[in-house]
Amino acid sequence: MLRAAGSFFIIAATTFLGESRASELRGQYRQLERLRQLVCRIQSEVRYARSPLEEIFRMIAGTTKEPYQTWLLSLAANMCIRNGETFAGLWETSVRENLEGAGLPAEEIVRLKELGAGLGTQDVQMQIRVLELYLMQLSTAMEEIREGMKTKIKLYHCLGFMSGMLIVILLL
Amino acid sequence: MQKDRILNVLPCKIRLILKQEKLNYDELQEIRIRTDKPLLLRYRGKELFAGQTRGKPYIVTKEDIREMLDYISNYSLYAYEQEMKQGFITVEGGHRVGITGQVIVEEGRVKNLKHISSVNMRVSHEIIGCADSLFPYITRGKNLYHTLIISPPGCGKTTLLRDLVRQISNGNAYINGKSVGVVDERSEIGGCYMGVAQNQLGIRTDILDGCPKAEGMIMLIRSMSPEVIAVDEIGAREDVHAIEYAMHCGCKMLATVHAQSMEELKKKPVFDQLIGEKRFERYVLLGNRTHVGNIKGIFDENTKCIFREEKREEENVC
Repeated sequence: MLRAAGSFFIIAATTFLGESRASELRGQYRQLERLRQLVCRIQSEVRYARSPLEEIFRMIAGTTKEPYQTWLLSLAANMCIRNGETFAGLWETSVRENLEGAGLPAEEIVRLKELGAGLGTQDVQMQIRVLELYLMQLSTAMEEIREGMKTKIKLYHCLGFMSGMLIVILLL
Repeated sequence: MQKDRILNVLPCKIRLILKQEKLNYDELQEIRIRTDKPLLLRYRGKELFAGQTRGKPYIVTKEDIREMLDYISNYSLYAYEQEMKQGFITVEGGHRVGITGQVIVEEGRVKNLKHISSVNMRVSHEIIGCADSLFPYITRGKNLYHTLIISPPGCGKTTLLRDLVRQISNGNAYINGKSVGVVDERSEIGGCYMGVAQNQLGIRTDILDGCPKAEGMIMLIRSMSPEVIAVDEIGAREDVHAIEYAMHCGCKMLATVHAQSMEELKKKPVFDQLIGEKRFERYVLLGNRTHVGNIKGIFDENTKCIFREEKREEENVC
């Protein structure tokens, strides 16, 4: 009786681990989707209203979910401090402080940090193109994740259950 | 408030130096920042080398200019592309920041500026009550005359216009409070920040910020039905047409123009006609002989002098 219960708990625990990895992958994709929406909104504001970045960040933060809301608000607040830091520096610091560990893939964090260097320039057309290029890269990354996602989720589920079974067999 | 707004757009090092100078910011007129040149201020009507208190004048660096551009544009130069073309950006509080550098020309027209080497900040002053003495001459029966303020640059016409708008909007002993529409093309009258005027323009004032004057006047008439329309620095033919349209619609006009004297104004092509047709009922001529913004003379619709600064000036002005 005790063995059966132990086996059940081991299999349940490893299956749960597999499921949590799968949901982490789904969460990562959702975060990327939100990031894409957010960058699209920044691009629209630049194109149509030509609003300054601080104003755009505060406006978008009002209707954006976490972690992006805190990120945009802290970036806008840091822009008001005016301590000699360049915009690229402020952007990179805010991405590091607010988005690292928030569920985005590591390579996306690197690309997002680099985006700051192209923002705030003199030419609106250039600004729009920088954002367009980033959106294109982001869409490609999302496509790659989406293509592998189904297989990976199945694999995580299978591995979770099967590893539990293996441990039980080895223990018995 | 005035001090904070000025310091907020200056580079860190320059901010620190100005704090050490212990200035009265109400008397600060200009801050001139030129790459590799000493930091110059125009203070109480005189030039002042900032940083002297530390032994030698502060020499401005390229990094200072880069930092200042970041601040005046809120790290978003693209948002000020049109203003950059004209050579200046108006910052919060209505202070005008002039910029020079290498001009980018496209199809024979100025597209933008690059390699910016000089920045000149002209401090805007809000002087409450500076228009008090003018009201007996520009009102009749609690109503306003169509008034044109004439002045060379830097003689306080925008400051005077701002106070006139405030008092007309709130009402005073000479005039009942009226709804005033302000077309603030360069954000100098209201010093708007995110559409809200930072300067006091009165309780019945609607402001169109950053809007071309001619278009703005028509928009105001259609949307806000103002009793008085105020515009700064008119000069183009379309501005004059819009003013005539506004006058025909029953709005009283309050405007400013650059000129040294009535004679000079009459020589300007569009104004010659405007004066001839007696569109404006009062002309207020400003100067800076005794102080910035002193009234040299006031003229009626026939350009007859009805007020002079003092006897000695009478011969020159009237």
